[in-house]
Amino acid sequence: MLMHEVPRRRNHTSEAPQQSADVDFRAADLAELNRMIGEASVPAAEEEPTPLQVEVAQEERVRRGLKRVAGISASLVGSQALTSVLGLVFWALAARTFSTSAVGVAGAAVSMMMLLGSLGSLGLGTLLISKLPHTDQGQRRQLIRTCLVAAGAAGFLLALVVPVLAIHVFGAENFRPIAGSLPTLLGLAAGTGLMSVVLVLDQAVLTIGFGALQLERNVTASVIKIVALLGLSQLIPAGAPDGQAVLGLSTGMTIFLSWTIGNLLSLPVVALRTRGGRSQQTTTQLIRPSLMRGLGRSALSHHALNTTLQAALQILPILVTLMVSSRENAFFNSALMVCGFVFALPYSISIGLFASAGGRESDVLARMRLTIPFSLGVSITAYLFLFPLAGTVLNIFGASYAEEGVEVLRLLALAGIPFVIKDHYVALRRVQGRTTSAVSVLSGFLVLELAGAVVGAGLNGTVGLCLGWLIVLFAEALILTVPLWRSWRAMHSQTHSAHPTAELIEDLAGQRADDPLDLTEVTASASSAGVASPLLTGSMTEVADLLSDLKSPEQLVEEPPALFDKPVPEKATRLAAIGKLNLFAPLLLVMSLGLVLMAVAAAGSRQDGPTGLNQALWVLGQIVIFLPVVLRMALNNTGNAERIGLAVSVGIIFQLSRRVLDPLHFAYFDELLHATTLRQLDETGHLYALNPLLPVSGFYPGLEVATDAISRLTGLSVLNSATLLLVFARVIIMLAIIGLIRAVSGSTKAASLAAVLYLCNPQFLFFNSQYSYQTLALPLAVFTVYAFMVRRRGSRTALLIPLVLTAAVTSIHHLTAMLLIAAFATWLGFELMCGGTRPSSRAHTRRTRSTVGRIVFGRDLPVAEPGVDLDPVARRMRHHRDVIGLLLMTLIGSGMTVMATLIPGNPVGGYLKAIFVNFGTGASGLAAGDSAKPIFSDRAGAGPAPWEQVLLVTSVLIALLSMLAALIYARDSLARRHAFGLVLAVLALLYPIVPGGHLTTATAEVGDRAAGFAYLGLAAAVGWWLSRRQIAWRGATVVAILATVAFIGGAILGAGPTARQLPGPYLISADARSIDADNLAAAQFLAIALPPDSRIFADRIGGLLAAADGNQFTVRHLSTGIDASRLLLDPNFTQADIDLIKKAGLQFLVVDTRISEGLPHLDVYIETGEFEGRTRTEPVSPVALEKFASVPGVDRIYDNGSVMVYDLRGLTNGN
Amino acid sequence: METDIEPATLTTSPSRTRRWQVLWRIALVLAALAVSNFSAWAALPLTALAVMVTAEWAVRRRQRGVVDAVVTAAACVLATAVLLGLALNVLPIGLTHRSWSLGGGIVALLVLALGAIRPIPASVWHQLALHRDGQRISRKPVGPGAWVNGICALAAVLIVAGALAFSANSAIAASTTPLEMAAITAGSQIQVTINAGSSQGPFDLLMVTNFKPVPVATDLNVTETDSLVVLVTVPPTGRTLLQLVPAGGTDPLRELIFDSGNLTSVPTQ
Repeated sequence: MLMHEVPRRRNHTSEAPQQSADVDFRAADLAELNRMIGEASVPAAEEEPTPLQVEVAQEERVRRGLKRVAGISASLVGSQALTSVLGLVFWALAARTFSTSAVGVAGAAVSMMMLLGSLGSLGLGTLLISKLPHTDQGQRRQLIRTCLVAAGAAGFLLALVVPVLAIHVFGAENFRPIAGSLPTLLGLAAGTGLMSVVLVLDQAVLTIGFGALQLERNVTASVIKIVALLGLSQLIPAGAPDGQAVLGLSTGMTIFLSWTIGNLLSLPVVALRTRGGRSQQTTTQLIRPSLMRGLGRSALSHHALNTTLQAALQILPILVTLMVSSRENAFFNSALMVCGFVFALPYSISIGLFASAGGRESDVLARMRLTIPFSLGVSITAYLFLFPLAGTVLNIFGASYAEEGVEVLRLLALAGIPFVIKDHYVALRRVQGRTTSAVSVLSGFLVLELAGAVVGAGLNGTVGLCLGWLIVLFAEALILTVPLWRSWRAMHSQTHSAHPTAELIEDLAGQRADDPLDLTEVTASASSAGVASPLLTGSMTEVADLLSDLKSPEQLVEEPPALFDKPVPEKATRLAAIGKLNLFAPLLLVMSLGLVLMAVAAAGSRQDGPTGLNQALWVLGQIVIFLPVVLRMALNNTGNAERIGLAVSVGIIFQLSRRVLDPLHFAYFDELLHATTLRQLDETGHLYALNPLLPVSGFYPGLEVATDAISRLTGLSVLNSATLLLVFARVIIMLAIIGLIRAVSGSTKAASLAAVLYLCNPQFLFFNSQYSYQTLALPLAVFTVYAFMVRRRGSRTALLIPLVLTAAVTSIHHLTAMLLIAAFATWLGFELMCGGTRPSSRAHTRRTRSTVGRIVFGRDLPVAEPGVDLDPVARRMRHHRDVIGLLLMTLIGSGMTVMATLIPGNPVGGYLKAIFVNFGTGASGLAAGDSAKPIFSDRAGAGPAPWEQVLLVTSVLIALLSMLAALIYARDSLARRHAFGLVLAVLALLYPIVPGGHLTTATAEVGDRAAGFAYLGLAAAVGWWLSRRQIAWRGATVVAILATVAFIGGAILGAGPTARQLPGPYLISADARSIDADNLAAAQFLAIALPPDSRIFADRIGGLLAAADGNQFTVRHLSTGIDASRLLLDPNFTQADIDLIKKAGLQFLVVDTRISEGLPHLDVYIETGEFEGRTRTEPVSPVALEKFASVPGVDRIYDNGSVMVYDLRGLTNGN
Repeated sequence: METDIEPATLTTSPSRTRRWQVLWRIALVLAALAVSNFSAWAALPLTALAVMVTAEWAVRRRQRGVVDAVVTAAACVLATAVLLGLALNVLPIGLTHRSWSLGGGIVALLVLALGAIRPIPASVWHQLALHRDGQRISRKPVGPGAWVNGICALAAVLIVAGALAFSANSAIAASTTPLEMAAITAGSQIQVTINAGSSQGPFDLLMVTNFKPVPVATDLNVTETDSLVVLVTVPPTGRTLLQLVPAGGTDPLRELIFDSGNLTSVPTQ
């Protein structure tokens, strides 16, 4: 089978501290090699060559280089062709002998084996290439055995775990034929372990003097595979179903078995050819792990690049199996195999380019001018050739392949074009020694490629998958052209500006390096010296690595560093350079792709329910959006504009994710109750109508007023106006946090980090992004504080904006307004405590030093650190103005709040009192040891999956750990006499209320509400703490990962399991998951058929929809003081029901019969305090929901199978 | 006056320029109000533009940078809208399109007029290009070229729009109206409506009185676009069931009940 052959690089490059030793080693090797191949030492350029000589030398070098590229490429292609043809024969035989689905299963199994086997090799092959030449002959076999055992075990374990997880955790049912039973699972694991072993062995034999052995083993294995396939096919009884064939394996896995047999039986070839080494063994110990010590890291770097390169082509068949079907994978796999030929030549050219360059970047770049167009030409020609002949070529596999795989082959063949650029990019990065950078870039692209493929597969099966993958691949090629072009430009300009003498020296050295053009000669010579002996084409990358390591003319002309120059590690310089780039737009693109993943997950979940795959995509989307942003934020060199742009963008993208989930209607409790107020406003044109769902919300109509303004002035629908408003709110809160924290800390880095870390607030993704009054009030409250903080002190209008905003907040949300006033009051208290005194000398010194440092280094200029650098008089003046300002804000704000509560009928006092009394009762009960609610389970017994529980707990632990930063921040604020810093610290220290609140049902609401405020302080403290540190890439990565875990875990804490976050089949009393076509249709009926504002009664969701969409007045205990829940929950119809109906003036009853199928997820069927309330342990009886069907005088006027509407008017009129 | 941040140089425009700056903004506000009755495609961009230029006019004199300008403008626009809405609620006309247009227009014109009688500072975008000391910032291109950034940003916007559209389509496809049967009284008769989000049928409609089913309509088919309406005369007394059953079948798929009986005795508990 043709796979995108993995380039492997001999690795002995060390990290910076070892650089000098490394250089010495390479210089010694170079001298040795030159001596061996009979070259004289490099002559000094004593005479200045003429420009003509320089030009001629350059042209000659390029010409010879291209000749070498062609030679190596041809050799490589030849070798690949041999094994590929055998692979093709194998699969063609399989396709003609077995059913399509069996071939598909085998293809997926082999792909999985290749992928996991490659991962399981752990980079030990590269490690051996590096280590073996320097290992004592007596220990070499022991080292190889150790590596083989490790790789085999890793491959075996991976193949045991990954498919099981895929099937049982992520619900990948299509994997069952591969690993659904014990025999198949063990067979897959054994085959994968063996694959890891042979992958490592193939590389090891290159270095121990048997270069041709790799080819021999591969050819042997391929031949045995074919024989085994033919043999096994004879063992299968005629007409046997796919389920059972040989040894309890399915037919598909029998094909896989023949592959494994081929690998297994090829091992004796290696043993036979290397038997001579046994006599040199000095120890009888079979394995010795200590021999590998200290070499893993650099080996892993190359391994990561290799794995990244090959991963896409190995994962795609698995994706086809997973998302489409095994049968489709048979066609896909066959097409991919054919494409292997198309991909091979350009790939070989790029390898040849690298191998022939001798480590000189300039040579690679110079030759690329020809190799890129040539490779593109080859790819395009191959495509043009394949397009009309695709069917004919696929006919090798069978008629059905020719018929159904044509389109896929035509698409896949196009990938050869972008691969040219990608392969050249890898060659350039390898020759530059920038493998880590290449891994980072290609890993990112790999994620995007797979995301594109997943989206495509979701939209249009295999063809869509190919298209999605290709689109990303072409975009990737476009982007990778930029570094290629830049490097070429840089080389070009350097060439023209470089001193001709140095250039000529390099050229002469190059000529000496170029002279041993014959690869066999090089390897033979090197082999005789015991350095290394990579020989044949299957390992050209190692050859190239060796050449690049040994012949480095730059080293010969390199001047020694100045005496006191500390050599700056090249890697660090490059990373710093990346850090300085403005990557806002590319990251915005990445974030948008994350949103696409979330959209695909939501769409899949609507269709198939929240399966493991959909959940994985949903979480992956969040990671793709969030992680890169935090990573950029945490780095030191990221520009301020980029930081701010990213912070705002990530907030907006997550806000839009709500429309991805619920694109057509409001879906949550709060959203529907505000939609009800909005409807009332639309109908009457006036505010303060009684909202039957939550009366208090009608008295704080700011949210609805703003929505109404947008809707009426722009003509947008209510839903779109609400979305626009919420996006506005999101922009305000992100910018207000940035402005506020920047004003406090003087650092944009701290501020933007705080803004992004605020997203870890458990309520951010769902509760604080829903259409609810707190969603708008909180951003405006934060802005109010910011506006107060940066006001022009002493101006007559200094408090105008803060007061206007306070008034607005007061009319939007009661609790936020009160907490805003409380924040001002607390701030006032701290301001009085700090008393305008000087900050401690330590804080002042540190601050001054920081300021000077920043001025010197051109970083953030702290301009708004209140009062730190002021003289005592100005400080006292400032303090007095702050005290007066805070006092006015507190008093006037309190006055506004009181005025709002005095609006006739405003029940806010009782409402808040009930919440806090409830909280107090719950908290004291908890303290007294009363039973708390189950932590990981709701009332209906559903809860987060184990992996979600781990994330949730980890996120809480991370947040608790972050409180240490809050304590440090509090100490610093105290030392600086910074009153508002202390307010933030106090907010941060409130965090334990958030997870603690979830311990009881009574305290959960306050815990949830507190999150939006506590995280302000927590995020500010952590942002400030991080901004004081010089964080390099590694540290930033750790920060990003921790923040991402906190974010995802927080979302689970705040919004429930991922399965509940996603759309899906109806669930009882579970907010968005309870709204479906059935109850929406019923609400639509209410709106059309019944008189507006008729008094109706329904369960929680039915009542919400009746009020918001059905234009009715839903009777609730909160609004009428009447608990009518027994009408739905009591199986018996009694006089009490009639009395209740009359008392409440009920006209209609909406019954959703599905609520009898289980317990409610959100604690109640209807509302708190309902019939049988929290003592209920069994679902409501179906009899209770049917009882009105037999009551005389009651009509059933609507029935959609799930929801029924009863007309009760006959009942009240007749009695 | 003590300030935390030194203001940048105020640039006072010549009176003619200043007048022009105010006039075109007023014209824009009036144009936005004029088209606010039209479709959202026309109203949205103009209204957004009018709000933006008015807010920029107001916040430019803060001179605290673009972040401050954007957040202040956004927050103040929202706060103004909320407070204006509360004020309009007091008026008899309440919150209507007309009152919003009138109120919003007055506020916008007031802001523009108040801004015009004082020296006009440099615009927010102009401030973006200036250091605090008023010197122009020389911007060296860093990172990917402008065209790469432009392509990425454009692609991001298109992808986000595509994701939203994809979600909407997916939700529409997944939300199929169930087979529903409803009754609305129409004079002495009852209008029975049978509706579904997909083509279904054939069905029979039976009327059951005294346990005797009588076909009212047979071979009924509903489609995604067309509802079926059947007028039925229900006996004025007693209990009548209207059942929708598969053609030729008896098990009801949907059932409506009309009971004109009186409740004679009910258990007290």
